[in-house]
Amino acid sequence: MSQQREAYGETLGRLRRRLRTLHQCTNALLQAESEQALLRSICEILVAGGEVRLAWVGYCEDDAEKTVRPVAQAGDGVEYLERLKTSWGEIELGQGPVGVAVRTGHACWVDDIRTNPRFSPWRAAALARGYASCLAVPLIAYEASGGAVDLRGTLNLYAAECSAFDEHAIEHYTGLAASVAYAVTALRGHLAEDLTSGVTALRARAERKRAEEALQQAREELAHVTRVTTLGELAASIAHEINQPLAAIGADANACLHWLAADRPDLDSVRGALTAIVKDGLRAGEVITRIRALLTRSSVARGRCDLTGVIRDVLPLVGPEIRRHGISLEMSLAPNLPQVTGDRIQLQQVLLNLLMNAVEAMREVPPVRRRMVVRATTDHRDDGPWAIVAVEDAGVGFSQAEAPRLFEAFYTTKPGGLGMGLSISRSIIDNHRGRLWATTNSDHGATFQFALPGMP
Amino acid sequence: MTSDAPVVFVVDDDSSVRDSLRRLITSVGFLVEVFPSAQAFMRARRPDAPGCLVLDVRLPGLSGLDLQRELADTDAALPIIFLTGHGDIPMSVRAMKAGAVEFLTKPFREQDLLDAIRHAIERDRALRTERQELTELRGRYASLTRRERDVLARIVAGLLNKQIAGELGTTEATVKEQRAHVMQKMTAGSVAELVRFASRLGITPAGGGSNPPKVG
Repeated sequence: MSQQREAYGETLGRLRRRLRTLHQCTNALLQAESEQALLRSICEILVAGGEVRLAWVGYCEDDAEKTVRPVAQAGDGVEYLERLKTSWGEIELGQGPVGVAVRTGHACWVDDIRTNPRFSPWRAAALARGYASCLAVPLIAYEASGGAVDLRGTLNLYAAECSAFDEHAIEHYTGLAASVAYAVTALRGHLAEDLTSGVTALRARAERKRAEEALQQAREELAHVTRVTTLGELAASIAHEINQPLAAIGADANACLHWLAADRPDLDSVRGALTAIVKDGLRAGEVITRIRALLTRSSVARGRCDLTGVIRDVLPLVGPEIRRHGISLEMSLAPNLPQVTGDRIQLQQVLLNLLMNAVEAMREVPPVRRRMVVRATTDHRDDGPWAIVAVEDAGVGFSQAEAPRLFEAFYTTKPGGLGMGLSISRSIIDNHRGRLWATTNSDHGATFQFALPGMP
Repeated sequence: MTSDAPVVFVVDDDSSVRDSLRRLITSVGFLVEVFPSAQAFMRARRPDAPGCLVLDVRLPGLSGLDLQRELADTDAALPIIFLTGHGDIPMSVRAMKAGAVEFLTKPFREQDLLDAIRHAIERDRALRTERQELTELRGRYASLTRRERDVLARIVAGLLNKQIAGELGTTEATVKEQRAHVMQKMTAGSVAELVRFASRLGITPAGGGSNPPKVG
């Protein structure tokens, strides 16, 4: 009973070791980066498993002797392999397990090196190294497409005991050798191909990314240039907008001086004027802050954005220009407009552009007709609420023929126009996952509007 | 009964500027009335007092220059001081040609504005006196009979009573009597004064005035 249990225990231990070895080999197969490294790892794992003293892989050569040349090895037996001469041909040196395994495509083993005549050419050297039995399993692979041999060789194992390789062991090592053969061909061919195409794809992706970044940068620079240009067009109006509070501050300060110079200073009036001075100082400062924001070459900064706020940012800049042209401005801003994700400066730019275009469109129309409406509404769509901002003018409008060109770069109807405004505006809105479009009004002029998806 | 206290009118669509001007002008002792638009100013009833108008060039609706033109067409013209947000030379030339007192660029020097206001008010005072005199003269002229007006036109042309009588087909004695009425009704102390009144009324001399009056 106890003997039987011992035998079972021994088998169980051996199976466990093989399982561990197999697991390690599988890892080596999966992580293989080169053929040479893979073969060496496999040999090392098998030796470390404790069942064999020497493991090596031989590849068949097509020389006259049909040599099987060791390409990887592990364990105790470097000198043995150095002197080893073995062949896969039908000669004496080809009658050993290595030659037979190559030729037949099946495992070939020697249970007792001392007695097996097959092994006579190598017996003395093998016994000197302490090898008692050995096994050779074929390492053969065919090309996936045709039948051509891709890999031809053997995995060879030497053990210190006689009959070390039983039926299970042979099956085990044969299966392992098949996996190694597959991995080698994969590394040589298909995997390399995959790897190459992978590298190509990565390189292409990197290049595309670089190109996209360059494009993005160019786009930002262009947007900046047009912002500066627009502000240049607005310079007179902006100067006016800053001069207004400055004039008021000057007048109020002088009024204060007069009141204070009186015999009984009128302090209440002085206080009132000083309060107005503070307010006008802030007003002038705000205009400058807004201009500076538009002039600064800043990279895109996405964040939560309130379009009503964007409208309020832009109106002080373009308001004087609107008034200068005798245009009456109406505002219709829906409460609770959905917030959007976006770059505030870029959205200001789009609106500024639409407002300036509207002013421009009404330059030649009779003064009584010069009316502009800025409308902000919410559109409840299937994918949630969208915020829509529309600029409606009563200007010259556009014809059917002009319609497709409106958003083209360098298309302009203004005498000094760059023709970039609408094209950049559209690309900005596109980048915000929104839409910018134009329609002609039923009576006069056109409506330009953009829609942006609300934040969830 | 008219008050002599001058009133400064301010028309500016910017409430900050409008209110600050009101405070500044009040602080130096003038009465001020402010309006946000040209239309509002035109609609308002103005007190019968000397004054001036401080006007922003850029106004929504009727512009400052439009208002200047419309005011010039009425008999209630006011001296105008223009204010502008930025120096616009063609615009200032137009304004000055149309009789503006001053054209100031915002921000302006307080003293420039106050000097311009004082100057404008003086000018308005003189204009008002002139206008009043003219109204008075027109009233006097209206009181003349047709014949007396005929005689007046010939007196200012330098004709003698005898020549006038000849031209009008009447006697010298009658003309002499009519001449006395003319001088009295027009409250003219001399022929020279009557000539001045006539020119202000735009009366063209009539008759044979081209001949130098004969002496004796």
